[in-house]
Formats: sequence, C-alpha cells, structure tokens
Amino acid sequence: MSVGVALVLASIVITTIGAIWVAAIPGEAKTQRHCIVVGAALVSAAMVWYLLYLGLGSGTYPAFRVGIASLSLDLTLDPLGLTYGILASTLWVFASIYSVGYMEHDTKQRQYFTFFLVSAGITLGIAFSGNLFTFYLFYELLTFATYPLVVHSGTKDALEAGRKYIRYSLVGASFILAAIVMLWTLTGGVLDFSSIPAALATASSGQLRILFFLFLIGFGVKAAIMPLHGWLPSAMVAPTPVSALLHAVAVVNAGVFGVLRTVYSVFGVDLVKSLSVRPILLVLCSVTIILGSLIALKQDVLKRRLAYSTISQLAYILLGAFILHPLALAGAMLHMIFHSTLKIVLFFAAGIVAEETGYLKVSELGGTGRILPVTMGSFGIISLGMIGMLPLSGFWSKYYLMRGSLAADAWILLVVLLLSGLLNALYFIPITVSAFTGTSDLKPRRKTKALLFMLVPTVIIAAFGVIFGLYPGLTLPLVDAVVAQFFSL
Amino acid sequence: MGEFWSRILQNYPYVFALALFAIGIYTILTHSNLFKKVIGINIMEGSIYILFIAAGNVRGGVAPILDMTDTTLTYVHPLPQALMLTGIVVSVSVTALSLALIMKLYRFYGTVDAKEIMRIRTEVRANGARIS
Amino acid sequence: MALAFRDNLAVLVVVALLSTAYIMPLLTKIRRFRVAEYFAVAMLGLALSGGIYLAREILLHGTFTYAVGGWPAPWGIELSLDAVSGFFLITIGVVATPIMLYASVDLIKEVGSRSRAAWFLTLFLLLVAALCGLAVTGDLFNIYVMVEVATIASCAIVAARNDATSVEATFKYLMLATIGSGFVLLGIGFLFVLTGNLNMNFIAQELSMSWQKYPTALWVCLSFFMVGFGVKSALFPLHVWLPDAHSTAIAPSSAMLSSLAIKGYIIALLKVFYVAVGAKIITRLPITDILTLLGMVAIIAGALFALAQDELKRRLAFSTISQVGYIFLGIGLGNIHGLTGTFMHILSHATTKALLFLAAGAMIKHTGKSRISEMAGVGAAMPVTVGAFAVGSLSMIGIPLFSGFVSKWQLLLGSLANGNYLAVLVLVGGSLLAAAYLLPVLRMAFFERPLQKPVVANVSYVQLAALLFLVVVIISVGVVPDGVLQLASEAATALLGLEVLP
Repeated sequence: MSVGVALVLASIVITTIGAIWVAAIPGEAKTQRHCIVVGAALVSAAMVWYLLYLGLGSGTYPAFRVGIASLSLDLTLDPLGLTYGILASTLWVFASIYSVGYMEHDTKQRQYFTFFLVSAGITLGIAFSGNLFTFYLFYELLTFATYPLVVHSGTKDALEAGRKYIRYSLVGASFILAAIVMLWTLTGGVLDFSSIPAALATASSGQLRILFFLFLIGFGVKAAIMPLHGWLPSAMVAPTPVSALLHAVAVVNAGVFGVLRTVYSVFGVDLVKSLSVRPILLVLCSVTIILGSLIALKQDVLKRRLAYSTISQLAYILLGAFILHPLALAGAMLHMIFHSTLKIVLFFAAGIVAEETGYLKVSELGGTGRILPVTMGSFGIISLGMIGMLPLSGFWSKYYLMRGSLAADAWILLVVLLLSGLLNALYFIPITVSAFTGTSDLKPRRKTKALLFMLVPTVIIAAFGVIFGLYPGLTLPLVDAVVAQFFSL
Repeated sequence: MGEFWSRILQNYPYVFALALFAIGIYTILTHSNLFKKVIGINIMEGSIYILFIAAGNVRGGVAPILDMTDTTLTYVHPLPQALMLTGIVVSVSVTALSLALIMKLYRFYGTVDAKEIMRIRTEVRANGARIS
Repeated sequence: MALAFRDNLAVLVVVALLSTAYIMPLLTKIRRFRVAEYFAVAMLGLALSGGIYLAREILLHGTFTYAVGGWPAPWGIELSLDAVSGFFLITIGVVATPIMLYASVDLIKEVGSRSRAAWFLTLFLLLVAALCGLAVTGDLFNIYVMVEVATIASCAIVAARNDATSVEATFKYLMLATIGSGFVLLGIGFLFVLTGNLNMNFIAQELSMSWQKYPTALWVCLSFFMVGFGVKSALFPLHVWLPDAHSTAIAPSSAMLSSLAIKGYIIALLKVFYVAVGAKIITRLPITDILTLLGMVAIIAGALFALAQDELKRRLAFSTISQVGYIFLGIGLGNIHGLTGTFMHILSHATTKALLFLAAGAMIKHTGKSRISEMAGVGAAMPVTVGAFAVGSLSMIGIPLFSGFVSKWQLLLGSLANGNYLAVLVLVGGSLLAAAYLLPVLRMAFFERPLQKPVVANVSYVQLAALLFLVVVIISVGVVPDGVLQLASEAATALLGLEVLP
C-alpha cells in the first residue's frame, strides 16, 4: 500500500473517526469537541494537500480498490477529483472554526458537529471515487449526512426545508441509480471512470442521449440547475456555516462535480460532441444564469439572495463544462474554485451580521458597516470579485469562460455572461453601499470570543480571494492538469 | 362437444370435488356466522379428500392390503389414502384452533357474528376505549 | 463419517427444533423460565450454525438428498438439500435467533402469564422448525404439512397477546390462510393426478416429457399454487389479512411473521414452480408475466397504503406487502439476476423488517405511543433503538452499504436483462415511496421538538444486543455481500437449471 493510497483512505477515515469521537464524548465537553472537530478537519485537509503535492509532482495518482461482489468500492485520485477535494477539505477547516463561534450558544452542538464531520469525509469520498458506484454511494450518503444539519434548528420551516431537500435529493439519486443500471447493461458491467468511454462506443446514440439526460437530471438537482433548484433557497434556514459550506461549496459542487464527471469521465468530450446535445445544455445554463440573477435581485432576505446568486454562479461552471473547449473547462474549474472561496465569505459575513445584529434582510442592513467594519468590508470587496472586477479572483474565471466561448464560436454566451455580471453588480453593490452610508441606531458591541472565531476565517478566505486575483497563476498547475486529463492537446 | 361431456362424465368425482371446493370457499367468504365459516372450511377440505382418493382409485381395485395368495388382484393406489389421513389430521387441528378462537371472540364480544364484531369494534374504537 | 453427519444434519435441524418446541412447557415447569428461554435461543443458534455448515457443504460439494426413514424416493419422503435450502436455513437462523433473544426479556409480561409464555416458546420453535422443514424438503406433500404447521403456529402466535383485536385478526388470518392451504392442496392434487408423483424431482422428470399434452391443466394447477401461496405470503390483492395480523401481535410475533413466516411460503412457491415444474416450462407459461405484474402492483400499492397509516406497526405491515412485491417481481423475471435478487431480498427484507418491528416494538412499549405523529422526541429518549430503526429504514430504502441495496441492484439488473423498463421504474419508485413512508418516522423521532418532556426509556441490554446483531448483519451483508451473494446466485442457478457459473 503506497503512501498515496494510505492518505486517500486516511483523509476520509480521520473525519469519520473524529465524528464518532465527537458523538461519544459528553455534551458538556465543549472545548474538547471543538479541538477534535477543527483538528480532524485540519489533518484531513493537510493529507489532501500532501496528495496534491504527490500527484502534481509525479503525475501519477494512487488508486485503492476493494471488490464488493460485482460492484467495487474504488477510490482513485485524478486532477478533477483532487481539485474538488482540496477545495472542500480546505474550506472545511475554516468553516469548522467559524462553526465554533457561530454555534457557541447552541444546545445541540454534539449532533451538529458529528454530522458536520461525517459530511466532510463523505465529500472527500465523492471527490476521490474512481467509479460510478462509489460516486453514487457517497452522493447518496451525503444527502442523509447533511439532512440533520439542514433541519438543525428543529423549527417548522427547517423541517419543511429538510423535507424538500430530501425529496429533491432522493428523486435525483434515483435518476442516477437508473442511469448507472442502464450504463451497466450498456457497457457490460464497466463502471470505472477510466474505462467507461471506450466501453460505451458501441451503444446507439438514442440510448446514450437517454443516459446522458438521466445523469444530468440526477446531478442537476444538487447542482441546482433550474428548474431543479427549488430545495436550495429553502435550505437557507440551516445554520449559516452549513449554508456557507454545504450550500455554496460541498453539496452543490458535488452536483456540479457529478455533471463534470458525466461529461468528461463517463461520456468523454468526443462522445458528448457527437450526441449534439450541446445547444440544449447551453440554453439551460444560460437561462439558469440570467433567471437566477434576476430572482436574486428581488430577494430581500440576504441568505436567499446569496442562494439565488449561487444558483446562477453554479450555472457558469456548468456552462464552462458544456462548451467542451479546453479554455472553457479551465474557466469552469477556476470558477469552481473562485466561486466557492468568494461565496463562502459572503455567507460568513451574512452570518456574522445575523448573529451580531439579528438582521436578516437586505433592507435592514443600512449602517451595519459602521459597527462591523471588517465584516462588511470583506463582504464589499468579495462581492466585487463575485461581479468579476479586475483585481479579484472572480475576474479570471469569467475571463477564461469568455475566451472559451469565443474559441467555440458561441459569442452569444458572451452576452449572457456580461448581462449576468451587470445583474450581479445590481444586487451586490447596493448592499455594501447602504451598509456603509446608511444610518442605524445600532450601538457597537463588545467583541466576544465567538465573534473572533467567526471573523478570522472570514478575513483569511477573503484574503485568498484577493491573492488569487493578483496571482491567478497559483491555481494554474491544478487547472492545467484537469484540462490535460480530458483534452489531448 | 360430445367427447367433452363424456370425459366430464367419466371423471365425475373431480367435477364433484371442484364444485364442493367452490361451495366451501363461498361459505367461508359470504357467511358472517363464524361457525358457518368453520363448516365451510371443512366442506372445502372434504372436497380435496375426494379429489385425492378419486385420483388414487382404480376401477375394480381392492383395498391395498397385500394378499400373497392371490396375484391377480388389482389394488387402489395407497399413497393418496395415506396422505388424506394426514390431511384429515391437519383439518381437525385447524378446526380445533378456529373453534377455540371463536370461543375467545364470543367471550370478548358476546357474539359469533363477524358483522356484529366489526360493528362493536368500530364503535368502541370511535369511543377511544380498548376492548378488554 | 463427515458425510453421514452432513446428511443427517439436514433432518436433525428440523427434529431438534421440533423436540425443543415440545419440551419447552415441561422445561419451564422444572426450571426457571429464563433457562428455558436461553435454551431456545441456544437451539436457534445451533440451527443457524447447522445452516451455515450445510450451506458451506452445498457450495463445496454440490447438492445432496436424504431419504427420511431410509425409504428412498419415490416411496419415502426425500429431503433435497441445495443452495436454496442452505440460503433459507441461514436466513431463518440469522433472523429467528435475535428475535427469540429480544422476546426473552419480557415475554411473560407481554403475553400475560407464565404458562402462556411457555406455549409461546413452543409455537415459536414449531414455526421455525416448520420453516426449516420447508427449506429442506423435496416432497410436495411434506411441503403441505410444513405449510400447515407453519400456518397454525403463526396464527397462534398472533393471538398470543390474548386481547380482542389480536384474536379477531388471528381468526381472519386463519380463515384466509386455510383457503390458501386448500388451494395449495388442490394444486398438489392436480400435480399428483398429472404425474402420479409427489416427489418434486420425479414430477419434474414426468412433466418435462408430457406437459405439452395438457398445458391447460398445468396452468390451472399452477394458478392454484399461485393463489394459495399468494394468500399466505400476502401477494397484493390477497393481502387483506396481513395488516391486522402483523400489527396487533406482540413485537417478536410481528417480526417473526413479517420477516420469516411469509418467506417460507415464498420458498415453497419457488420450489413448486422452479423445481417441481421447472424453469423451462414455467417461463413458457404466462404465469411469470402475471407474477411480474402482481409484484409491480404490490410494490406501489403496498407503499401507498403504508403512506396512509399513522400507526407505526401498521405502516410497517403495509411495507411488508410492498416488499413482498419485490420478491415476486424477481420470481416473475425468471432470469438469473431476478432470482438472485429474490433470494437476496428474502434475506435482506427478513433482517431489515425484523429489525424495524423489534425497534418499533421497543419504541412503542417504552414511550406508550403507537402513532408516528406522537413520536416527537423519542429519538432523544432511546437513541440506540431509534438509531437501529434508522439503519433498517436506510436498508429498506435501498441505500448502498446496506443489504437492501444489494437486492435492489440485482432486481434492477434482472429487469433490464428482460428489457422491462417499467419494472426499473417501479423499483426506483418503490424505493422513493419507501423513503416517503419510513423517513418521516425518523424525522418525527429525531428532529421534531417534543411537546411534553421526553420520557426516559431504558431498553434492556439484551434487547439492544438483539437489535445490534441485526444491524451488524444488515451492514455486513451490504458492505461485503460476496459470500451470501454467491450462495444466492448459486440458488438461482440451481432453480434455473443452468450450469453453475465458475
């Protein structure tokens, strides 16, 4: 067993052990619990970073396989999975520190942190799965592991949101299961990402189209493609770290990641091109981008506005993937990284505001910048990145997406991207402006330890947003590796 | 058509058995008196004995007790008869069990009529009480 | 020596359980009640290890037969041990042992008196013995006798609680089950008239030569079997007795009936259809299409009925009707994956439903609440029990890593192999409906805020051990199904009469 294999396994197992540990210690041992949670997330993230170092250094990626009857549990590293793994596990560390502050006064901390860590392991499982069965397994488990987090508050709204979430997710997962069974019969039992495209060569294009759309609908639920997005805005009743991490990074990107896997690993670029489904997909994404932004504009509850913004931004990534051009894929990968880092800051800031002032609505935020300057400052800067302003990371991903659209002769997408950028500006900038210019009768409060726990991760990730903007080359080795994986250049 | 009827006539015990079977089931399903249901069960099972015994019968055969002195005898098939002895035992135990249950039901509800029992039960349930 | 032991073991399992059953009342008279209960558990454990040993022997050395009383077939009763028997023996052992263990904790209190409890043990063991008999027998009339023993025993353990509703449910069950037996016996009579044999292997030989002479008679005879066993195993339109019987009985009875008793009749049906009549003939008759159709209707209808129930045990009882649909769907598919799925589902539903009924029994007993809508906060009061219920639910829905997924996967493959896309849709939809009727229980128990202060419930460690045993079985079958799956596919292969796959 090589070091790589051990690390792949360990990165998943360590969070699970952490979760069991958290569940086992008594509810009063707060400090101990927080140490375990942050520690487990940190160690797991460190392992994934080391895997990145190993993978990029040698170009070979370890694989781990256990046969389960005719199906097999298969963990493999590849650049695409690694990107998602790095992203999720790193942000998990920050989100767990943030959670420590945010959940300070919660009575059900034990339940929260247990499932929080379980979800971390499952997300890494999704990232590292080497065949569709393993992917489906973790994808399905993710639904159940995150459900308790969504309904955490136990209010009627939360339970209703949880019900919606689980309905959408299970129906989506059924589509995926049906697709996998169909794939199994088409390929004669081949589910490995590395060998599916070759095994699919003999299938008729009609069958392949059905298969493709089964996968697309299945993963589209978690990727919140319209009209399958209904669960996401209502899931915003969850505690803010959950909304930030799961509903802007881990869960939604699991859906996006699933679509990427479908397009690039299951079908392969050439096969998707030959199916001539691209126009439909691009229209679907464009509609989601524009509609998502338009609806976001009308939302008054800040987290809901952010949720619709997420729906719109996820469609950027999918758009990049569906253009089927190396530059566009690079844009999609960059956007996956950048959107996650930026959006999590926005959610964190919204959470701090809600905790410190109790304000949840955009219309109430006037003057909050005065008492929470760092928070709202980060929000303001990062929202500029979201719009795609130059010195911030969001610019680069859009730049690549646009270049990709032009290279693929789809100039109309340029219009979509620019229009959406404009809409982004319309729904983000007024928040910052009113926060710093508006008046309010709020008195500055004493800075608590909890606030510090929330503020530090927010600022650090925000700093990343700026650094990536100034030095976009930092992410390029990984993105290049992904592109090279699927396009023979 | 003529051939069909003559075959039916030849195999009249089977027809008879099936008719009895149908009567038995009809009795079980339509009568609300619990005792009549038990009688229905016995009619139904009786019909199956007839079927088996008829199947094992050989025209002109004698009881299958081996007679070493006379090799010309034809015997009826002994297997179905043995089986039906078992069948009778089974049906007796089913009857006993159902009668025991009827006794209990009578103690609980004071009636042996299925419809009455249903009525009492829904009434009691509507009042939210338990039947003891 | 080893061979003699192996051959005799088949009959020994049944005889040992039968005789244990009859000494139970005596044992409880001369020893403490606990002793008798643990003796019963030990005997079931022994039966399980015997089953595992037999299954291993069958896998290693192929099938074998045993002539009861030394009378060879066709004169005597022949036990024929193949992978089907091995598989079902293991299923019985794995499920009946923890149920007995669970029952042992408060049996006297549950059924009312010490002597009733003693008779409950007798009937329970009789039922298990009859099911083991069904697993090993190769003779049609023996099947009838075992079916009757199982029926009477299961009727009696429904009535164990001795209150008005359960006695009434028992009577209804007994009437319909007896009609079922009537049809089965009629079917056996027809096969006897057609072939002159009662030994299934001989019938198969006879039919393979002559069935084309009277296809209608065969078809009628098989539909008798279908109706007969269909009533007893609660195939959808014939299920009317099940919800009452399974929901009014005490928890161990419900678990036993829902998980094992109805499976015994399904095994009997499989033997009649695939061993006595043979796969070649069966698949050419429309009967398999009817079974597929009924299976699909049962999956959906059972689940919809389950959704409408608020009483937890009734919901679980209707869920059984839906899950039996999966099993019949597999039988109807009639290909290797379908039948493997049938066997896997027999095991997986048996373990899962036993777990669900036992956990539900504990939940109802300790909180005094039998309705799902009242169960808010139960999860906090008894986390391990409701956690076990959660494992059962996930397995029932068919989430990977749990045994339910393994069977669902095989059934899906079987449906696609037949090009039956409707069945794929029904299977997937059935899982979603299962999620719809099971997950609300968990939501209620874990996440809804309780109205009153939650009760403190101390479930006994023995009962928790029984639940955890089933949890371990479900998860280990889900994670490493290789061994059981091999046995199941061997059983399917044996029924289909194919060459054993390497």
